[in-house]
Amino acid sequence: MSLENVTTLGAAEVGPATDSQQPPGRLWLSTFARNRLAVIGLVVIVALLLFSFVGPLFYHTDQIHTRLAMETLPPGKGRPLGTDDVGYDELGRLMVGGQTMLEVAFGAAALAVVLGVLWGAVAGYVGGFIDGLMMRIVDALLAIPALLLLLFLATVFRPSVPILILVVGVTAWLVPARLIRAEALSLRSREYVLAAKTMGVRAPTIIFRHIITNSIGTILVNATFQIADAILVVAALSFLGLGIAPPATNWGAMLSDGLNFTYSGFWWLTYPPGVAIVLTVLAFNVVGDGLRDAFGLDSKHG
Amino acid sequence: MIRFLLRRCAQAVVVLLLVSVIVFCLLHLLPGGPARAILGVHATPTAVAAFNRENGLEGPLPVQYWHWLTGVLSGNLGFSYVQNESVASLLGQRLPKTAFLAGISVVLAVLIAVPVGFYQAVRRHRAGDYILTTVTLVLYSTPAFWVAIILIDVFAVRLHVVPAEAPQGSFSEVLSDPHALVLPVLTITLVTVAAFSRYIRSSVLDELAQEYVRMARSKGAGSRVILFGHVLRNAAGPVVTLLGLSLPFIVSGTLITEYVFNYPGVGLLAFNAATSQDYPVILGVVIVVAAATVVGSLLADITHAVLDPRVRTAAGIA
Amino acid sequence: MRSRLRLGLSAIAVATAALTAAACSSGSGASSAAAGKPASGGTATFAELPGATPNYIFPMLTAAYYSVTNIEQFQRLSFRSLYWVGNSKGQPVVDPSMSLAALPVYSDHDSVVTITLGNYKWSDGQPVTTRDVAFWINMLRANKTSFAAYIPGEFPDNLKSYKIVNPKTIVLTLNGSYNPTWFTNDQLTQITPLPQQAWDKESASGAIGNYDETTAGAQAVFNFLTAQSKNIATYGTNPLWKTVDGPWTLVNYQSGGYAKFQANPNYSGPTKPKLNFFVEEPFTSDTAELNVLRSGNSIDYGYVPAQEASQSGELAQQGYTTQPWQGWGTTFFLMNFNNPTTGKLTGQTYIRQAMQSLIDEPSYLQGPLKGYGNTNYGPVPVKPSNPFSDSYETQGPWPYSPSTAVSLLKSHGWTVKPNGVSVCASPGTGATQCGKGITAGEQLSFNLVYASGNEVVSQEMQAMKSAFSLAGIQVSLSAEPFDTIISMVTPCTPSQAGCSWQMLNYGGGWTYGVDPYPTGDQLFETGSGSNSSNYSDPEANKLVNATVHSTANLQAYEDYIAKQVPVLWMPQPDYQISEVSNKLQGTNPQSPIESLTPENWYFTS
Repeated sequence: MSLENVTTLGAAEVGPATDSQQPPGRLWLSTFARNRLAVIGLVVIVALLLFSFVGPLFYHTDQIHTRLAMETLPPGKGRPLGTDDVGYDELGRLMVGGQTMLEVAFGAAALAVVLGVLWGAVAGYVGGFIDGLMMRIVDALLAIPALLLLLFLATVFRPSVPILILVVGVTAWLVPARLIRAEALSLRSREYVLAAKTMGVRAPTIIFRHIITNSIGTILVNATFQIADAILVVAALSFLGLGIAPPATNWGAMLSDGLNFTYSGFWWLTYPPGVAIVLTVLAFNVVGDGLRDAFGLDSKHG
Repeated sequence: MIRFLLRRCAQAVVVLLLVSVIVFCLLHLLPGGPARAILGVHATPTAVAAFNRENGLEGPLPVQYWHWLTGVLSGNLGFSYVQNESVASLLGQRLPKTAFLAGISVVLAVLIAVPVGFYQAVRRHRAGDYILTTVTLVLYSTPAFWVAIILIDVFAVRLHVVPAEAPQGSFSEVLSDPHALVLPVLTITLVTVAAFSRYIRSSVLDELAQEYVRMARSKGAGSRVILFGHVLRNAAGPVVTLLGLSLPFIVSGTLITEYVFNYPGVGLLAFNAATSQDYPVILGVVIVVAAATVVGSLLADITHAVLDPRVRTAAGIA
Repeated sequence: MRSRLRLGLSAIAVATAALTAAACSSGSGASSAAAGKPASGGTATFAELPGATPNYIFPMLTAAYYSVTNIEQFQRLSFRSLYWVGNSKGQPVVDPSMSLAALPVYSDHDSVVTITLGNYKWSDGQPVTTRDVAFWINMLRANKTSFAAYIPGEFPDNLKSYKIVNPKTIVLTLNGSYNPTWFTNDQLTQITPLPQQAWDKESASGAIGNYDETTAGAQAVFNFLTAQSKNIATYGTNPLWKTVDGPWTLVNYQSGGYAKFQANPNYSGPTKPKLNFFVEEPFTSDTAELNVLRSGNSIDYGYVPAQEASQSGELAQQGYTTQPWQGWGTTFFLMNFNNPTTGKLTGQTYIRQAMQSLIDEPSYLQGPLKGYGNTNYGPVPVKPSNPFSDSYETQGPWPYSPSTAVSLLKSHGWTVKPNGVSVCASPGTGATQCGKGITAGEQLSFNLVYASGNEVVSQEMQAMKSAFSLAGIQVSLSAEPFDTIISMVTPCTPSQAGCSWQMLNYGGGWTYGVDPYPTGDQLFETGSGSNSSNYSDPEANKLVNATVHSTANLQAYEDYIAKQVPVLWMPQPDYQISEVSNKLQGTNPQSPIESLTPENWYFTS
């Protein structure tokens, strides 16, 4: 669970603290490129994406048919990471698990960002009573612990990949909503926005062309953190037994299944997926931090 | 100040009402309707009708909502048909244990995270910052359940210094075995410290970048005075806000910890309820925690406003 | 006969010579290390299996609560059955020394049964009398459809009348002649005398009376006791549950499954408890239990999960002895014959036989079960060795053979698509056609729900799904907790919402709890309270009924059921691999019906 949402709650009350809402331009890219840690993070992310989606094209394993006779074998010839408890090749499994993990994470983050941005932009731009109501709804949803809500939803809707994306996204859109609302508040009093209004440009156009475009920095930063959080959430849900049924898998499920064998010393069942999770979440966090610095945003805006 | 207080209280009331509406909607989101979902698939139509009558689930939705809300406000949080006990009674047994566990952990987390976050911000881009940042970042990126199991493996199984399971039984029995609380507290503390210190670090960094700090520096005031005088005071505000609002996060972390360590608190109750489709219990926990969060954040905001006058007069608050 | 659902954990014994030999013997485990001096007192802690926690205390219960956990490991500690199954050698036979009555005497061509009670007392000082037996019978007659073991036509329907001769003697007159082996082992063992002097009332504050002597009264009393039993928060405090004739009284119960029993000083049975307290502790997962076991000595009687059985060595160093626990039962999972969509598919015998041919039991035995347990292809338990299982059933008419499965399907008009979904190409009821109700293009696709938190079951189900795909039988897996699945396992009709399950695997099977004579009436007879598959076959009914009348008919029934595959057979694992602290003695032999007898246990100093 993330505390990024907490970061911004105080901020929305304080109001936009620094006037950093310029069209991003090219400056952010070069600033980002100079941040070595962030670049490494980006490279790691790309590598993991390639590993999960392109890897199977080069490294063929059967991930559908089990082979009980070959269960829990240690790494050896022909099986770089050994086999799991039903005989699947662990390295191949890691790729399949990565696909599901990243799909759900990106999907949930995208859903959360789209929902949140729309909600927040509308609320901030329109202002007044509607803004108040919309934001109080966000406050109310934020007050509900995400994991509890997820537990509830995961027992009502038996999880599959799309359901998981929906469920995780639905609990995650609140933070971007608050962030973008704060942006919208500060942007709506800009000259070009006021000018557009007087010229009769309709609200939706203003929202998209001016408000959202000029908040792109904040949106990108938040999206990155959303992906990182979604991965941890999926891992937690899988551990609690509310993940997707086999033979589908994800790193969280692989890790928690592997933990069944903690004492037997089958390290290849826990460390690969565990390290994969840590690495991915770390990478996204580092990239997010880097983006935030690159866009010149302070902690209240990302 | 008064205007601010009134405004914030009014907002809190609205939020609480909205929470109740959301929970009510969740109740009616259940497959087959609340009666069938709670009584089970084998419920006969007569049983369903009786349930609906007893629980005010007949009539138009707004009426049902009012009936339900007044019930909640008078302490009727529903009845668990799985455990055959009222939700309020179950929560009453379990809340003290979770509050105790979470309370200790949060206090420890704050005591560690504030100095760590501060140090990281002040020594930015130096070795100390990098090491601490790396450690907290890795900790933050590790799933909480893995942290817990590693701790169990090392301290309970290999070193035998503490038990692997939290104390069972009633609250007094829990208190009588502090030894067994070490690992659960440690787990939650570590996870929370990782999150808190990042937040505190950025918060302090923001303060340090503020106009008044640069002004004070240029006037020659000693940096120590700046830090401990102004920055700390101004950064304390967000920390208080953090505490008030991080309750949902802490509840989530506590749930996983209670599951791994078999600690009979609210988290384990919620999990067991979720897996046995005991919806009244889950929703009861949701209401209580949400209400506590809203109240907590209200108190936190008020404290923040007391500490930092800028907050009271800030524009843009709906 | 009473049988119940059991959550099985497979067992793996450390492969030392002595232990291997012991594991192969009948049901009991290895003897513990040399004992020290017996000490009296102390509290023994027993680890419950994950997901299977006791949640019902009143002995007359419905199928939703009909489990080993509730009956053998919770109720029996306080409320003894009239006839106890499981002797001092660990064999599944009635043990008169542990029973409340002497063995029954049959007369008049086996149609009259005379039962003489021993000298047992309730904890309130009152003797256990035939009035208490009659109380049970009266309540059963008025509420039989609410009792999980009830089968129409059997007890109490086959009881014409009873007569209380004196407080120790009761005579039952049956409606015909019955095989005494069957009647004693499978009918009389259902009876649990209840304390009429404390429970025969219609409300908490009401007076004790003879309400059970009228049907309406008996129903009122039953409803009252059931309502009390559903109030689990009060198990430790409700005075009703303090009137016991067993060696243990429940003194503390926490929701979630924690139960603490205190020794009953007034227990009149042969072995008085030496411990002061007996505690059952719940765990969220078997790994959590193993963590506790490995890290300290707070559990005296625990278990090691199959997948971590290699830990036995470590545990031995910590002072535990490994004792595999064999149960008297058969393992399988259920298909719902009344499911509106798939009922017609599973209703076809050849389809079931094809599916059984795709279950590679030897491979599951060797892999997930690590060699401990045995293959199981029919309704009669194979181990411990007994005179009832024959070679046809032991070898199994449908061993693993994908080609057999494919040819069975093809010869009945299916287009078999390996790794896809097979479809029916020739609908109809002819000998080479798909069968009644199956349309052209119908798919062989099922949803299977299995018990979560059990690594062995998870492995078996995944392997099975993979094997099924070889014949184009598509299975969608999902996992639910054991308690949830148990609540789904009740008979239903196609139109009911509760009939939407297609296949269920609660991770165990059927323990022939209190019926050492394993006829299949509870499981396979039409309309039985525990026939959750809704299986109905007149031929099966005929054969089952015949077994009731003579042991000679058992083989015909057994072979028929093995061949018909009304449930899909799975390897029989050991109930659990117990790990018992060396300081705790007296735990051997472990009961074949998985009951707990902590009154035999004691600590050594």
